Parts: sequence; C-alpha cells; structure tokens
Amino acid sequence: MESKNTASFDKLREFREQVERPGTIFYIWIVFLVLLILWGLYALYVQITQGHIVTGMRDNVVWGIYIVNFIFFMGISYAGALVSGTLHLFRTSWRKPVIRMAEFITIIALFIGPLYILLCIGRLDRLPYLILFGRIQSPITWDVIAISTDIIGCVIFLYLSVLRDIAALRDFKELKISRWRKKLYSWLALGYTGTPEQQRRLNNATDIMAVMVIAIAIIVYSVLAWIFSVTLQPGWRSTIFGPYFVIAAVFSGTAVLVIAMWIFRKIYKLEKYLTRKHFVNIGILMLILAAFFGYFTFSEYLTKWYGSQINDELLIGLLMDKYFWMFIFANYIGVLMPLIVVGVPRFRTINMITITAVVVVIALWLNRYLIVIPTLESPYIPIQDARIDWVSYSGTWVEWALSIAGVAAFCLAFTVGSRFIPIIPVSEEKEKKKRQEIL
Amino acid sequence: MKKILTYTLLVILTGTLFSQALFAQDDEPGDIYMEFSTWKYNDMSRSLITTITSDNDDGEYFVKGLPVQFMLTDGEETIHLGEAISDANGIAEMNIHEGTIDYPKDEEGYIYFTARFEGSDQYWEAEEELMVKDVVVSISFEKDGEDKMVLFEGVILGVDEEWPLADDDFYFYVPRMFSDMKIADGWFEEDGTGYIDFPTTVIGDSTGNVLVIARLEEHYDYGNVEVSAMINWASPKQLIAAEKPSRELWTPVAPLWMIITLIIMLAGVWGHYFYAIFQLIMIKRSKKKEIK
Repeated sequence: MESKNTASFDKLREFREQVERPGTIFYIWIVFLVLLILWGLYALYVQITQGHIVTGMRDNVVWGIYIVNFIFFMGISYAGALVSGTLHLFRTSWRKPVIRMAEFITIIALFIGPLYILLCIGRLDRLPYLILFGRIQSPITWDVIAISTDIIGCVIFLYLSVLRDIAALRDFKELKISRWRKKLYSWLALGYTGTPEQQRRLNNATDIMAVMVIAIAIIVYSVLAWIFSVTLQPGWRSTIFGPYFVIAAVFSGTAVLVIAMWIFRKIYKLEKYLTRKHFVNIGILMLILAAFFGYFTFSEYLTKWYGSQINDELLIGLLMDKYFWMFIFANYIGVLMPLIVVGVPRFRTINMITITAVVVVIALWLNRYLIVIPTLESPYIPIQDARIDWVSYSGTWVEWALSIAGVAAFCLAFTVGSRFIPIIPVSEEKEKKKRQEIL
Repeated sequence: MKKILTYTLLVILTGTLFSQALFAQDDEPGDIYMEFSTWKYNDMSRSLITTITSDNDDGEYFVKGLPVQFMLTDGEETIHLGEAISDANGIAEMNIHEGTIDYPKDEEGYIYFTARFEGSDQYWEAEEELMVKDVVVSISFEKDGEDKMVLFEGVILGVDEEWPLADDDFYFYVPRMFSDMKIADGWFEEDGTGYIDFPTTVIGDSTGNVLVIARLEEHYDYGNVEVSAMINWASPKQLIAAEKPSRELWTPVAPLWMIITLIIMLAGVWGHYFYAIFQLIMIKRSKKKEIK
C-alpha cells in the first residue's frame, strides 16, 4: 500500500541523483576514505602486536590523543542531538534542511567516539569485567550506562525522524535502485502510509524522543565531565566542568554542522534549501555558544590562577610556556572569531561562517587536548621516576593514524548514509496549528 | 668538443653519485655513563650491576640493549665472568653464585671488578672499575624476657686472614607495600658485632612473621651487603571484618541513594524508549488493520 504523499515524490525527484547511482567522484572519495581507514587499521595492528609502547602514553601521561578524540566525538554527537531535538520541538520553520544532518552527526559520532576508548585500553580482554564487576560508584560505569543509553535513544530518534522519508522512498517507483535497497526501505518503513492514526503516533513518539535525546545528551556529557572533575587532579577538579563540557560540546557540534551544511550544499547543489539564512541562524547559535564558552573558560582559569595553589600554578605555567600558542588558538581565536564574524553583519557570509566553523572545530579539539595532556604532565603527587619520555607526552604516528582513520570513518558513514536517506527531509505533513505551541 | 664536454660531465656526475662526501655524515657515537655497583646477599651470592645512561637534547635517558662484559682481575690476569645486556631501565646485571669462583684479592683484601662496554655504532666504549672487600655479615635474634634484640656480626675476609667489620652503620628494614621501611640503625663495634632493639610496633603477617632485612649501603669499601631472616616477633595483622556491610563510595555495595537515583533515571529514560517503540509497533499493526 502506498502513501498518498505526492508532494514527497516531487521533492524526491529533485533528490533522485543523491539516492541513486553515484558518480565517479563519489567512488574516488570512498576509496580515499577507505585507504585512510586501512592505514588506521594497520596502525591498530602495530599497536596490538607491539603494545601501547608504540603510542606516546606512559606511566605518567596515561591518556593522550585517544581520549581527546573520544571527548571530541562525544561532544559533537551531543550538539547534533541538542540541535535536532530543540529544532524539532520548537517547530522552527527553517529547521528541516538542517535537522537531518544534525541527526546523522549525532549517530555517527556516537558510534565512533567510544571506539577511541577501546583503543586506549591496554587489556581489552578485561573489558567484560566492566560489566561483570562494575561498581555503580564509578564514573566509568556511569559513562558506560549513559553512552549505551544515549546510542539507543538517538538511534530510535533518528529512525522516527526518517520513517516518513523511508516510506516515500519505498513508494517512489521512479527510483532506480537495487532490489535489496527497495526491500530494505520496505522493511524499514514498517507499513507507514501516513494515515491520521499513524501520523499521530509518529508525532507523539518523535516529540517524546526529542525531549529525551536532549536530556540524555546533557546527562551523558555531564557524566563524561565528571570522570575528570571527581578526581583530585589539578586542572580537572572543578565544580563547573559539567556545564563547561556541555557548552563546549554544543559549540563544537554546531561548528561541525555548519561544515556539513556547506559540504552537502556544494556537492548536492542544495542552494535552494540551505540558504544564507540557515548559515546565519546556526552561526548565531555558534556566537552565543562562543560567548558562553569564553565565559566558562575564563572562569576556570581565573579561579585556578587566583587560588595560587602550587599544583594549579604548575599547570598554568605549563600552559603559558610549552602550550602557549595552542592555548591562544583554542581559547582566544576559537572564541573571538565567531563573535566577530557572526557579530558583524558585513562578515556574515556563508563562506566566512564556514571558515569560522573550521577554526572552531580545530580550537575545540585543541581545548580538549589542553584539558587532558598538560594536566597529566603536571602531576598532583610527585612522581619518583621523572625520565623525560614519561613526563612529557607527544602523539606518535600510530595515534595520529587512528585519529585520522576515525575522521575518515565519520566522513564515510556520513557519505554512505546520505546515499540511503536524502540529506534534506522530503516528506511533507500537514501540521495542525496547535502543534506549533511550545510543549 | 661538445662530445668531450658531455662525457666529462657524465663522468664527474657519476663519480659524485658514489662519492663518500655526498652521503650524509653518519652521526657521531654518543657517550654513555656507567654506574657500577655490587651487592652481596645472605646466600653469599654476589650481583654485579651497571646502570647505563646517556643524554640528548631532551635530557638523560636509560640505554637499552647494550652488552656489558664483567671481569675480575688479580693484577696479572683478567678473568672474564660473563656478559649481560642492559634492560629498559639501563640495568645490566650479573649474578655470581656462591662457590662459582674463588675471588682473587690483594693484600688488603680488595677484589677488583671491571664492567666494560666495547662500543658500538651508536655509543663510544666505556669502562668502570670497582674494588670491594669481601665481607660476611650475619644476623641472629635473641630474647631476654620482654626485650627482643637483633644481634649482628661482620667479618672482612682477607687472603688468609679475617678482620672484624668495625665502625660502620648497619641499617635494618622490613618490607612494606611500596618499599622497605627502616626500623632501626645499627653500628658495628670494634669487635665487629652489634645489636639493635627490635621495635614493638612492627606489623607482620597474620601469624606475626616478618622478614628483617639488614644492609650495608653503598659502602666505599664493601659495596652493598644485604642479609635477611624471618622472625615471628611482629604484631599479627588482623583483618577486621565489618559487623555489617557498609555502603560507601569505596565499598562493594553502593550507597542506597545512588542506587535509587540510578534506577529512577534509567526507568524514566527507558520507559520513554519503550513508549516510542510501542508507537512504532502500533504503526506497523495499523497497517495490517488497513489491509484487512
């Protein structure tokens, strides 16, 4: 039984090219990403066979780039959840072209981020002990529970969001795709035909899940922050780490969303759907978050510096010496650039906002690096053996290869996902006026 | 003329390809620093230990994988004792069991050890010498009423004679979790004997046994000497079982408030998930109703 939504088919005709057989450039891009991933897998093989000695992690600096990547990917997943959930709940008129990308970012980042934890663990054979002998008092246990709950919640939310489009793809006879994809769409569509009862149920479920993904994402990222802040380590022990991490997460995720919007706008020629208005609106969100992020960062470092505790002084000294330029880029340029570019109307162009987003992504990655590594390099308890390669950390080619492979996997999943589901929602629905009210 | 010039140029170019001067200069070998020490134990065995370090722009580091030859000399000939390879901590260690070798000594009783690294492409050769006197130290335990004492005696072994080990410090330890804990300082009297009062506050195992370790440390004449013996004089370690299981941050059972909070949160979240899944099931069922 087909859905009666012919308006969807009109839109689908526009996006046929995206969903049907891709061109040569697509395959070249896929091969390039696969090669990067294979390089990462080789690095993983080296790490497994030779041990973690091939990384820069040692007895003192026990966390490195893997943890930074974990925090980064979890952060951008949260932003995706927050943006898609909030835009959905508020029924903002301009949300549709953006919401699907945000949902994709959430799901893909949620799957890639935790992989970095597995790379960080030296004895993976002991991983089941986390479940068999896990202590509820441990922030690690909270994190495992929170992330797994978040993944399931976001998958359900994404599925609810794309259900109408899947049904439209199922019914669109003009679509030239392989039989197994048609069967897949048919199975995933769950028999959705857009009847009033089905629409009501779908809207209810989507509204509920939109609230849940926002709440869960806040909890997940706060728990992640608490893994650091419940320790006594100077640089981590902070009462504001929870909201600080949440703000930083949304900030970085918003920037990734802008970059994704720019890329897909170019590739699939979505100028009609992703207009300057969308970039400016997301840019304003980025500006607000930049201000909050700057405020939290300032508050963090001011209180540390003012307290003049020796361990805090050690950390700040390290940041101002060895990590000075990284600190400036992460906490000044990453904050000021969105404020200037988006704040000054003259600079609010699509390209400038996108360049700003790229700078923000790099700055926020560096911010996470500065949170993890310099803190471990300025130990709370004096260490007996102070050999240089134990005190200082620098990432090795193995870690960088796996980091790049993670980014490549993210891009690959995004690219492949956009081939299955149109990146712009195609299905239409009549929304009653009462749904416009805020919950 | 053109041909002559061309061929000449070719010859010069070919020659320069194989010229030594064109290859990057090999790095000069680096210097290494050897610390050489010796330990003598209860069972009369002796360890020869070298710690090898080098330095670069980043600072000092331990050198791994260097073969170190250990030798003994009696002034006339050199006896090769063996070889050890330095480990990740730069330590090359060789153990000599009792009776394996008859140490040649000079008139004052000194034994001469040498540790030598022959050199490699990366590092210059290095050699360290050590001269120590052979000593035998023993400890024993004596109880006089409530007083517990650890008696000790030291003897320096010469070529054909022995002397008392006199006027030197002798330190006593018991093993603890991370390192040894000092319990007393002893002193060798002129006759080579001494004693310490065994402290009453030492805690041993569950039956009161404790290992008492006594050392001459980094002595300029004797090197390092360590003897140890077990004695049942320590306070037994009692594990105090809790009367009832307590719920703390560090106990196997979590605090009640934490468990309740977690259950409420998870129930709330998963309840909503099940509601959404239920809606999807109903969507699927409504399709079947339509068909009927």
